[in-house]
Amino acid sequence: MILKLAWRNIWRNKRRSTITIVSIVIAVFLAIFMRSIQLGMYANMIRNVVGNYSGYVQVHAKGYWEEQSINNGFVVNQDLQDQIKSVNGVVDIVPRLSNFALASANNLTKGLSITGVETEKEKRMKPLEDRIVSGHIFRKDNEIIIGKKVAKFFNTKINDTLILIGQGYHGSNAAGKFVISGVIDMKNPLLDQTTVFMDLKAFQQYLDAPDVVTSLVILKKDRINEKELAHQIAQAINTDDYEVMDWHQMQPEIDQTIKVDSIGGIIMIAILYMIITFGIFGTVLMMVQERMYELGIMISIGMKKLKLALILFFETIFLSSIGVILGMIAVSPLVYYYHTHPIDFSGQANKAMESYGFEPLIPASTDPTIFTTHGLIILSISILISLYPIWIILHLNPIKAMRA
Amino acid sequence: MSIITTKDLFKIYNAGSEIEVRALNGVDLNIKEGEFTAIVGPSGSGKTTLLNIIGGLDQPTSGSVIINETEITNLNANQLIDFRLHNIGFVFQAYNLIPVLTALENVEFIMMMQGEPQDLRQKRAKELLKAVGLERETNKRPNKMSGGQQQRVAVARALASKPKFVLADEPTANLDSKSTAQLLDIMANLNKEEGTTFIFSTHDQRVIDRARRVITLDDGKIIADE
Repeated sequence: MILKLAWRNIWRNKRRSTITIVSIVIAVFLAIFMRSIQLGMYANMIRNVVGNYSGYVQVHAKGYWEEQSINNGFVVNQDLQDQIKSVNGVVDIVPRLSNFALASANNLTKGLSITGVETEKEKRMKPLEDRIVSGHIFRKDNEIIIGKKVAKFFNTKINDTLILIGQGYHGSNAAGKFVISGVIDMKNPLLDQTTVFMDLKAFQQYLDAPDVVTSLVILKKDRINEKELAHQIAQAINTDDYEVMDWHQMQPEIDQTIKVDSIGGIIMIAILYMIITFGIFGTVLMMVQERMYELGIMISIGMKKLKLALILFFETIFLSSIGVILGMIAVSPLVYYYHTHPIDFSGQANKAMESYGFEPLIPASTDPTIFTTHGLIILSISILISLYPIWIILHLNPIKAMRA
Repeated sequence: MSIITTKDLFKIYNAGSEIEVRALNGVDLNIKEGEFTAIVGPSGSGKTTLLNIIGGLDQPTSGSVIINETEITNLNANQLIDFRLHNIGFVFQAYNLIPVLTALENVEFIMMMQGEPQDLRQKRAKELLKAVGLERETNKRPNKMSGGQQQRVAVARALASKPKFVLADEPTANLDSKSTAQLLDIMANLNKEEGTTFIFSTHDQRVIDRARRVITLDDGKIIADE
């Protein structure tokens, strides 16, 4: 009977309840859509940079990250590989050798980050072949593939050459002429400006560092938390010789960019919720005030105040729940559409996004926690608002209420 | 046997101030089981205040109210709600039904609060609605019923909890002559055939004429008891 009363009470004033529900639907719709676009953009950025390139967890020689020099590289031994692979959640290990070099072509020079990779192992992440926009993957020791913005900077084409000059292992000189076999799109503006890939063995030879790598990228199972995994690997290996880092530690700029950008969205949503809070509160206020006489009668004939408060509580929850559910249903097709058809920015917006390090292609996130989070926020607001009628009921004097 | 006894009942508003109002000024009253009593008097004489205090809706400034050996003036707010639920039936002036419930549900509602099982409360609600002549209106909501019909549902609801007595505050104030006569007939029959005790506060001569005992209040005192 309590639920029946609450349900019927919200339809006593159909127009008012409908307006309140519609306003909740709009708020939930906008909040979920805005957030799924925003989080989709971040997930895309993390996937492009972390998932497809740096990996979620890396193992280096102790002190490498502080001083990223070839001299802080290490030779991978079987014991180390076995120790890492023994950790639950580790799928594979991908060795890489990175170093900086000065590149030169067409009277232009630019500092670049060169990475030596094993193409077969890299396929466990995102195959380099899939990211090549022109040419092909390196097939010879003197072939390299370069980021699309590097190619643009040097104004080079496939089969042009790039001179790389840098410092090799333990002070040796490293210099060589390499043929550009392909141009790669890293889906990240900053990486596209600085990245060059070549075969790991060829790069080790170029640096005079046989078998040396600078990092082991750890491939993990999808649902394993990277921080937890890094912690477990650190316990499995000798941390006097090696360091284990997750991507938050290695790429704090991505973390910070996301955090700073996220604040704007959160403020917008907070304003939206503030407006909706007053909307729901106004309805609840009217629902209580216009029924003072009736509430007085109900207490007079013997209804316990707590039960009466429960009715008003359910009225608020029903109103919000209807709004939340309809809002979720309404926004779902739109989120799904933009998930499968990402928003493609062009012109000035494109440049602005690239300057922040975001790919100007935004797929909406379909993460169900976005839906549940915003549904729960509205419900929490409603529960807070329902404290007002509960307080009114608990302090209600039936005589005064019946005179109201 | 007395079911209601009031002893030296005072209700003073704004006590000690210049605008002190003595709504009840030492009321001693005994009401026996089965009475059909009207409390009359001019506006401001204290009728409604007396009814509210007897009904446990208001507290006296001093004095006591004893109902069936329970001194209700000693009960706290929650105990009073429980006491009202099981001992007192109320009929108010108007609009006292729950608007979103049907006539049947309104009558059932009070029994639901008493924890009666559904089949039993539906059976009794139907019997009571039949007793007040509304067996065909069971599924109507209050806004689809006339004022007289609503008051008859209110009487059925008041009796649903099997109370010791029914307090009716100006029950005919908003009714036309025909509805008033019907309502009074129903209450008089219930009083006569089932021994239900009714206490009215009223200005209405039609009610006064049907009462078997008339208590007249003026300035918060009983000035006549016939």
